[in-house]
Amino acid sequence: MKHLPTICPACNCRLKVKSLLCEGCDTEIQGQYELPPLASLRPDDQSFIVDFMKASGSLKEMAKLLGLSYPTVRNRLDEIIERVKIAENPDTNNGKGKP
Amino acid sequence: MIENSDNSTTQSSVSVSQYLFNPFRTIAGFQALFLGLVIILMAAYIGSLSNTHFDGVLDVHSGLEAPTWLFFAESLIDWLCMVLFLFFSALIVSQSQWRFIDILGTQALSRWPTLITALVMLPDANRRFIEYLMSKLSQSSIEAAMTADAVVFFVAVTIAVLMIIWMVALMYKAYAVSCNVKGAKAVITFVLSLILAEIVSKVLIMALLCGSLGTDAVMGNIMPKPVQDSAVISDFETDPQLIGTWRSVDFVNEVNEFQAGTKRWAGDLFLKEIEFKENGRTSKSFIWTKEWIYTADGQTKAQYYIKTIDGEMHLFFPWLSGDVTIRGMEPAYYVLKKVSQ
Repeated sequence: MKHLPTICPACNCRLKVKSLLCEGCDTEIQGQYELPPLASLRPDDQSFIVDFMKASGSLKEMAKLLGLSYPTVRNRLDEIIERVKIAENPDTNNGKGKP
Repeated sequence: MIENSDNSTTQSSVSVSQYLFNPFRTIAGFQALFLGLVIILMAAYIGSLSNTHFDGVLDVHSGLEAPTWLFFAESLIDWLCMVLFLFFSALIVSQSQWRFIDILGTQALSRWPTLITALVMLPDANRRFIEYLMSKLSQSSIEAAMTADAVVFFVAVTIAVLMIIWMVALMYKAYAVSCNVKGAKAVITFVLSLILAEIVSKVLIMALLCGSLGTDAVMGNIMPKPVQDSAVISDFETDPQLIGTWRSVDFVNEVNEFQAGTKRWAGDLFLKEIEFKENGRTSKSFIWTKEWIYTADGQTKAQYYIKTIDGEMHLFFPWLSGDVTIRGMEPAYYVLKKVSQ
């Protein structure tokens, strides 16, 4: 499965959405849209968030499912929270907009 | 079912190095606490068999005889002192939602190298070689004696040092994982906590040891007094029958209570062995002259008896405990058999 690129391979700036396509009627919408913060995360972070939701937001349950300790899972969540904060406010990251 | 992604944090496979240096990736909380406590208590018990004390967060010392409960108390004090200071460090520097049970559990588990230390200190060769070194030290003439005991001793000491280093690495990792602190902040607060925990644990354990065994016994073990060549009692009279090493076989209230082949004392014998030296000293804190045993300060004395029972020499050694020296009671007797001249 192809991953959604969020960073420009040339200059490392955050990418924006320029075009959206309806597969039903081939309608194409052009514009300039920001990626939502969650979409800006790395695929493995997104996967973690989905798993976390499936586990009803229980870190204990996540730890059991992943075979990891509670603090390891919680630290991972802390890292993702930091990335989301940066994605929400790209100015704090030297204006580069890196997630 | 939740699928694991390719990120290292979400993979449940654990490599050998992770087991050795960061088991907390997969074990923390109550699981680590239970496992760690079992290991701490096992290490303390095995240490008690060879008089190996974990008398400080980073300390291992051998030699001082003490009741078994003191060995357990020392290990628990070491662990809890470290937990206490890391708890305060985490309160100050950690931005994460950490749990106290994780600090408690992971710090307990990180002390597992002490189990290996206790095991390598177990061989009697270590005790013999320490006594040999101390006797040479007191005579100011250390000779290189590469006996089997020396090899065992140096291997044990090397392993003990490596285990301490390993334990510190584990304690740091446990702190970093359970409180989610990283970088210089983690290193500085960990080192400060370690130093403070070492000082506090050392003070508490010394107070406990001095309170239980007496200051003279503890300090004498830390800084052994040089064995003097001259007798310590002014009117010292030798007793060739007494000189040598004796091993305990029983403990009786009266000399005539003893029956060869029957052990009256049901529990463990606290005094395992004692050596009577030609100059009136012993391997313990007592001194002697013919027919009499004195406390180290010479203030209390009681008569000893040597009897031949069933063709074997038996020593009835008066136990000058606090009941005798402070409360003025009659002494009970250790019964010992001679094992060497």
